Amino acid sequence: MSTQQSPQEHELAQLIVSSLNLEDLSPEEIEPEKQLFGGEYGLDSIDALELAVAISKQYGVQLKADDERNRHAFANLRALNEHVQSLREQG
Amino acid sequence: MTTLPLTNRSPDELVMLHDDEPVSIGRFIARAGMLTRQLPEGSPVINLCQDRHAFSVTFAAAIMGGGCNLLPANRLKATVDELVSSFDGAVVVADRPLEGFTGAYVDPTEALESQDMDRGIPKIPADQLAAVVFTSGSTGRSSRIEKPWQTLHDSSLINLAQLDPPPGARVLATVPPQHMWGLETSVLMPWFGPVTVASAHPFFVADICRQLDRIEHPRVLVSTPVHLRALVESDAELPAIERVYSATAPLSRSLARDIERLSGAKVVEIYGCSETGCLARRQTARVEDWQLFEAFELTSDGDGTVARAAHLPGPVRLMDHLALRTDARFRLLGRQSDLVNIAGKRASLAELTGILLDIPGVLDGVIFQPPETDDAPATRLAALVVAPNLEAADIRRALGRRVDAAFMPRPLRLVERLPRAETGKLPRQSLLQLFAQTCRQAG
Repeated sequence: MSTQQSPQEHELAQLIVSSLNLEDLSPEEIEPEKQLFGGEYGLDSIDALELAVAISKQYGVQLKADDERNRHAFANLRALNEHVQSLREQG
Repeated sequence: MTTLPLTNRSPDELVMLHDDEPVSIGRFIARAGMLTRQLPEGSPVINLCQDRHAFSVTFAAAIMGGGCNLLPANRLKATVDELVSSFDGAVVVADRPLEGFTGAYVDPTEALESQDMDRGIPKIPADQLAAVVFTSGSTGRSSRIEKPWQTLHDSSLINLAQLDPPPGARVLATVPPQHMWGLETSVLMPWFGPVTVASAHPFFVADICRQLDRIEHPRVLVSTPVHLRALVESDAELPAIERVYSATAPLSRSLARDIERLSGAKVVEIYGCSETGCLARRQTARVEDWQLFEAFELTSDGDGTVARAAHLPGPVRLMDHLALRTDARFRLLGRQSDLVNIAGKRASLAELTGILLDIPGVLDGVIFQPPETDDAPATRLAALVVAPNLEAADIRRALGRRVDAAFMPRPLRLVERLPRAETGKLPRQSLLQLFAQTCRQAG
């Protein structure tokens, strides 16, 4: 798997940085397969909640936490992007 | 020996909705009794159950068995290991496997599925230690707060009288059962008053809306400003809600008004801390003054405010600056400058700043809480750092190794120097001016 962000992943990374006010992290610095929450980026569950709101505004999809698949969705940028895209297709 | 009942409701009344299963008081007590028999008598129980139903049954089982519930601030392996080694005979009860934990634990599943009914109401010694609540600190060291059964019993009755939920209410909580706010409202309140709590613990907006739709009117939502803000920002379509209770962080008046408008609910903000439990209330959309619960008495001295109540083991010094207006009304003037509370976790700013200054290459720096505005609620700390040879990312990485994510300063900005006075002190006014300046540059 590539450690480069795809264009879609980059767009999502930009949303993460802007919606969570991560002023000292640039979107390019978010590695697609590195742990997004609870790791070195310093993101926690409150960020997950705020990010879900931002995603619903930008992509028109609602994230949920109440099934196992959705829990994995927050593992890293790549998984989150795949999850958001699959929700859009179902949309 | 004085005893107090585990519950003052009758066996046929509904205490919980476990998914879709209605759980009566009698069935709940039967389940707790069955679990009690699986536990060594009088042993402390490290209650790590995540599901609200499993947690509540375990909470009751530990008390009925003569033991207490140990409620750690987190579920990390190191935290659990430390509790096991420092409490003789402590037993872990967990409803799902714990990552990395290799010790023995009791699985409550069989008891949770029991279809028995127990019509006797257990009597608990008033002075029995029922729970020990651990609050986390900035670096993981935690403080312990002891809750005898009398404290939990009496505060539940006080909370019911003061929160005054609509009779027959169905309660949904976006907060976990382990921390005081969730424990008082979503575990104990239904043992003492005519309310039924849903076991669900919805987190995202879509989950909260779906769970609210599943429960019957009159709906009560127990939540926090963080969740309520997410509901407003998502333009969530909320069903009619009778009452919203918010605690854990300051709720802005505009957010309270928005929630009242969206849901039709009366939004009641509750003030308290882990040591006192719920202490005061106000309808934030309408009033500024807090109404102190009748059981409490507040006194001010040179260092701040002390709360006393007959049901508490001792006096409690509050973390906030209060202005007492009458015996029963006060205004909150803000946190004591050094202590912060974020996402239910506490930290000392002095301690966090000490960690920052320990990083090689950091010449000067400060971690502080930026002022709150309606547009930008202060959910995060900020840092200004003097470190000519480091990048912000280096400092963030070094801090991340020692500081809980909740307290990571965001933004963290490099500056040439801090506006220290001649004495070396950092006047808050000058600090905030510099911070505002860096915000404008960044914006």
